[in-house]
Amino acid sequence: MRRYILRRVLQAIPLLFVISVIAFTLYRIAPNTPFRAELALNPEATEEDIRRLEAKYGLDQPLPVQYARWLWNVLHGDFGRSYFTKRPVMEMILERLPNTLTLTVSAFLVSLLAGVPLGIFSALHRNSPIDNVLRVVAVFVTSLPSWWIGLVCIIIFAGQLRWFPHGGVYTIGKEWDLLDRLHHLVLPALVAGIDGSIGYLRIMRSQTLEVLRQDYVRTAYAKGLSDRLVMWRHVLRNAFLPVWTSFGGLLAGLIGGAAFFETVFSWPGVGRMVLEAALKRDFPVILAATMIGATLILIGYLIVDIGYAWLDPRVRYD
Amino acid sequence: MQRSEFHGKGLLLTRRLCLGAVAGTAMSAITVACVPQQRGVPSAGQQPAETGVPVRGGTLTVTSFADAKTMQPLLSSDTASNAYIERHYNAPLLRRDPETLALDTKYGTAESFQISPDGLTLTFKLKSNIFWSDGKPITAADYKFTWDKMMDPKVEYPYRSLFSNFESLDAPDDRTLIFRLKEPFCPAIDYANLNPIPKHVFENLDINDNPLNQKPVVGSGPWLLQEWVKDSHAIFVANDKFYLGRPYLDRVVTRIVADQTVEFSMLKAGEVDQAGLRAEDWEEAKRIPHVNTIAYYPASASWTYIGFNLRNEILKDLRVRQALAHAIDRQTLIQRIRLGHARPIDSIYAQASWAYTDDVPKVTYDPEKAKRLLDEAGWRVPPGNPGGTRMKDGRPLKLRIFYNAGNKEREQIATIAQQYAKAIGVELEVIAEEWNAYLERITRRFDMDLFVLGWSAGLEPHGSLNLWTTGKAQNYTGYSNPRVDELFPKAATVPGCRQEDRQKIYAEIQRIIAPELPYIFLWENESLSALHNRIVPNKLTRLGYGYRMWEWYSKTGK
Repeated sequence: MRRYILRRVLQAIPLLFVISVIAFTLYRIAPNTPFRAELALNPEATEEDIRRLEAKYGLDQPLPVQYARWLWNVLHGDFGRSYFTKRPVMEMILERLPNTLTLTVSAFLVSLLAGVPLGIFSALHRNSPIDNVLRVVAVFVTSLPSWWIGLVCIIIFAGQLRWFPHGGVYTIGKEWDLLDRLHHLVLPALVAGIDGSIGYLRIMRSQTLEVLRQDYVRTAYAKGLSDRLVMWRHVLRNAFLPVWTSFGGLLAGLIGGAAFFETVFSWPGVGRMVLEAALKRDFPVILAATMIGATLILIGYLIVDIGYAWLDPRVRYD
Repeated sequence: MQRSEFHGKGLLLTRRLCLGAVAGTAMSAITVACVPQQRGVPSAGQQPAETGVPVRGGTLTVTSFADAKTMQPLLSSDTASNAYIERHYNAPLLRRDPETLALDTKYGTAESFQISPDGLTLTFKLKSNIFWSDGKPITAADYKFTWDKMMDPKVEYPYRSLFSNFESLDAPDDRTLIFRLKEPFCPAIDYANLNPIPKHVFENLDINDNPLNQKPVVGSGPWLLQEWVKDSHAIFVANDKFYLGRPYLDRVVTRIVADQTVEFSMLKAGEVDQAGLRAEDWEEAKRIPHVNTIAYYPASASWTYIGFNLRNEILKDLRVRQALAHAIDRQTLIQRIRLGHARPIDSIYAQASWAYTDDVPKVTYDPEKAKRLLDEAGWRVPPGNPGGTRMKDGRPLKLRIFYNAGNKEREQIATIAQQYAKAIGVELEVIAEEWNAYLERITRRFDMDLFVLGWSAGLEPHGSLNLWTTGKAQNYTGYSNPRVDELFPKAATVPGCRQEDRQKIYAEIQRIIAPELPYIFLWENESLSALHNRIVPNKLTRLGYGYRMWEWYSKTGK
């Protein structure tokens, strides 16, 4: 197992290098540059001013030179500074990370706790009225933009019913009030969680139906095992494998997966910051987020692969 | 409120408020959404101002669609940062009179100022009882220090080239500032209207990178930054040592919100006190019992236009541009898109600007005239196909109109213009592009035929030079007229710099540009906003009601 992990880690190094080259190139060939995006329509700043700022940050250098400089700094632990806030990128990410994790972990738990049981329930009651309702709801939720659902929920539950606040992490002046924080968390976590639960619901439903048709399940029943035992030991364990696979991207998703919800719910998180940085062409922020995301995805899939061995005894690593 | 919104994408880059030692001129582009603006006028029957003795205390909660990036005035280039900064640092030499729009000393830190007869020297004398929040006096050395940092190549000050007409600034004693110019320049008084940063705080710090850029302590403004949670909120508390007296409101809070839908919902719920309004929310806002709605046309109005790329062979022909302008019914557009909350424009200046003249040719909706003009230009309706696209030398009259994706108003303008153009035999292809791609297309590649955009007018008309003179950065259409090139600098160097004398030249500029139609001038927006009725703002003027906010108060003291 140790050799396997070491091999995977070593394989990740060239992979991350390739990702960095592709990301750097893509971001830099996208239209517009950061200071031009900020100042081009401002008659108080001239072309000369824009070029001066670009030169200050080396944006007038050839791309390979810029990339080499960026890579050198990253290898020394320096992801650079935002062009606009002038602050170290890692500092900006870390200060928002707790908020993001609070929302994404909560939303993930809602997704999992709602999606998986409902998927199983739906499969076990295939073509029943409840199954049909769940399928229609799933299609409905999937077809609507997530941010729109968020906006509608804000208007209804915050604006009309006044059950929840319009957004933010806490009421100003109640920073240490846990109940107040939970009150602010409920709506975004539920909306983001329900949005995410649809995927789990569908996977679990289809996988459960698939596994129920397998010979070993029929054999288990023929041996006289109880429903509960068959479900726990044979059906769910196997049906859960695709859900487990999807967890590979979860670590990265926990950091940046809630960008739209963070924006709609005025939730000061990493995703919202990166989204804004992308629009403003704030390259150091986007690149740092990309590389952190890529690293987390690689780590996530490594954990998933290791976890297979526990979930599925047929899988062994040499 | 301010905003850089990203929805759909966009930013409203409004004029800088004489901050960071900068006085802005000009105009700025309205990109996507609008920042709710802190100004307005009571609409009929809803007067927010009340007589009575102002009450001390209370919190004003406003919103912003984007958070500030920095609290360092010398690095700021976005509207959200400027709004924060002007609360914390606010000691300009002069302030604009809301009635005359002229800069004067009444509310500034200057006791007097004079311009030398040759127009090359501006001398300011500071008032003596002005202090930083830590009790230290604000002196000429602070202004000089600020100026030196602005001019320091190592400092990432984004507007240095604005000051190319300036030779130097001297501070011979604690209360005297002497600006020297290379040549007479009327807007110099705007640019020289510095707003200082404290020398005793920053003199040993790197202006580009120091902790006070995010968490300043010493300030000069009516409120001081107390708490700033990025992308969430910022709290400013009253500065007891503000040189014009402690503000009535104890706190001003800015909350970051997603967009105008959420903002309006918060307004209705009483969670915010002030909000810019969309035209479609206006009628509903008037029915909210706890707010006053405010509508007015500001001197710094934002206006919308369809630009022509004059490098395009087809659009070089004035008759084609005239035809397209006559084909579009602006009143109908205003009714459908702005629900009547706008008025048509034919000039490069807002009607409330002192530079404005009404004496310009007006474009009327006249599709028959449009067809005649195209006939004259050689673009003929194909025989046997009266509703078809006009042709000339075997080539169809096809053009592309661009706008930034996500901007609903511009999308409507482009698609309705397409219908109007079709009615006169012109095929317009409507193309939406992501904001940065759009920006690059119209500002660098010039690979467009028509485009929809807007400007937010500045109070100093000289700023328009960058839009209308040959080769300037914001002259996206490629417009060039030697007489206009000559008149803009002339208006900025009129001997004596009297507003009346300058206005005559700007009026001539407007009379030249309007009939040449580099743009189809569409409309200037009526500013719509709402303010909680416990808040008593200043009297509505062409500057709105947001000026001198330290004089605002809450009737309830809450």
